[in-house]
Amino acid sequence: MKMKNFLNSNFQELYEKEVYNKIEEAIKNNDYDKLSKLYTEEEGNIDLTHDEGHLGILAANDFKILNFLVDKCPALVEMYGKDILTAAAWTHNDKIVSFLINEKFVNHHELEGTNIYDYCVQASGNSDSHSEDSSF
Amino acid sequence: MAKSISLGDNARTQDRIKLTFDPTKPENSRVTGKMLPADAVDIKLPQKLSGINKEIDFVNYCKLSYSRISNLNEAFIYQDKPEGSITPRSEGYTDIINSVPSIETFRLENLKPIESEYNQIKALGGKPSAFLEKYFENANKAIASLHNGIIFKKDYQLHIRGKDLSLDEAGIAGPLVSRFGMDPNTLISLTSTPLKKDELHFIERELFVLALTELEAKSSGEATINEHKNNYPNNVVLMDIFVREDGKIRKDTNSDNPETHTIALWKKRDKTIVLIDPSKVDYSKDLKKALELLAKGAEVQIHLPTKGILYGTSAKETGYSSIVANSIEKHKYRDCIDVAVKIGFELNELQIHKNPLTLEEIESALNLQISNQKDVATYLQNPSHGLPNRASLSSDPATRYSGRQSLEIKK
Repeated sequence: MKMKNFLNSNFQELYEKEVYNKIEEAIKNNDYDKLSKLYTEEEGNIDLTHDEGHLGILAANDFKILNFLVDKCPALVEMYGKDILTAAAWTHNDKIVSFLINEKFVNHHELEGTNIYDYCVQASGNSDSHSEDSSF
Repeated sequence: MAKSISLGDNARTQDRIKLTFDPTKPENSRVTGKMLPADAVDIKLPQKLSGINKEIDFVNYCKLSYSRISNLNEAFIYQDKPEGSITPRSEGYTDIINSVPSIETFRLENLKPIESEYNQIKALGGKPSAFLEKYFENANKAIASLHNGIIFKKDYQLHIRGKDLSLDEAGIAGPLVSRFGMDPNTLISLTSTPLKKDELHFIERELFVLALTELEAKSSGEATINEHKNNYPNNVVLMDIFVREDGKIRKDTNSDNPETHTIALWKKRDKTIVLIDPSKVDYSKDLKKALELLAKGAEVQIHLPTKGILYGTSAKETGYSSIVANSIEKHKYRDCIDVAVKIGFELNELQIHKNPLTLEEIESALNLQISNQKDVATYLQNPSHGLPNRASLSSDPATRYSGRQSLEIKK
């Protein structure tokens, strides 16, 4: 990340904050082009798991953006998959729900007993087999 | 033996929450399978404070008839401001079976062992040890509270009808949310006693059965939507639970009392009850199976907001013990009871929304309205995360929605 070049750590911190704010803004506005541009400008040196997966949670209503984030940083869904799945269910984004489960980023059975689990089962349109291999 | 709630001259309220309990009738036998004897009036209190930790003593102690309901001064009801918590509009304590002399006996039994020592030290001008002082203070506090009973029912409602049944200033009777609670002052002997996260204490079981009975008479969310009902279904009730920590009941940091928490139960469908924790899902989610055993075939579903927190503080886990809402400390956080009441108000509003919503949309809209977490209400900015969000949790729906709108505009 460019910000690593700064000698003054205070300035570096401010710069980082600004970059993350811009990224957050781009995701909130579903602005794929801006997000992609920011990422390129920073030469890919951005920790997309920043702020406990908040960027992924914000992206849970836009498949293209989430896919971009996951492509650049698979750790995002490995670490915060359940939170992103929950956010996707609340925004009724069945495509993302299916994506996270089919790609086995999240084992939705771990959410059994919650309304999110029921949503996942309902969104799939399949009966739930309660098996580890079940998918949408 | 059966008694009903009396709220003075407020006829509508009388009709609304009439609750009778005749312990001699088999259909009223509670989960314990024990029925109270007809001559229950002769039953004495447990001899020691610790006796309250025995189910049989607890059952004998409470008739669950809520015979003593006090009407609150209605002026208080309108003190609800965005920065404050709502005042309950009525409250009823469990009837006490024992007579006053037995409370005196109870007092003597609990204080007798060290009373003479305590008085002697005082008479000599000495200072009793901290232990002794604490023991006396706690025992007296428990005894004073026991006069009111261990468990109670409180109703929360912003707008009500007047005595002449005319509408109040707002023109509409607001939703009513009942809370089945317990008084931790009476339960000091339970502090730090074992209680697993996935099991219910018998007092919690009693409260859940009462909550369930209340819900049984209400329309489900599904029915309310499908039948296009215009009246509030009032199908959200609250119940108190103990806070568990390391397999024990957690001690309240401000007292030696057991720490309690309040959860909301929403009758989403006829056979589905949604447990909504006003703060952290982890506080109550493990109770699902234990609650289902009592739920007469209904599924208990856990409301899971993103990251598992609906309303909390930013830098630390939600700790409500030090939260007091008043004009000076207006930036303090709301407490779990207040947030749970607002969950009830909001769900009632959403179920009769002018543009009918699906059940899922209702839960999603609830999250957006109530939460102060940026992972749940994603319109919130980073600096807003976890901060008090009072206006959007006002008891008045108009204030509530304008509060949220102003936050969204700031996005």
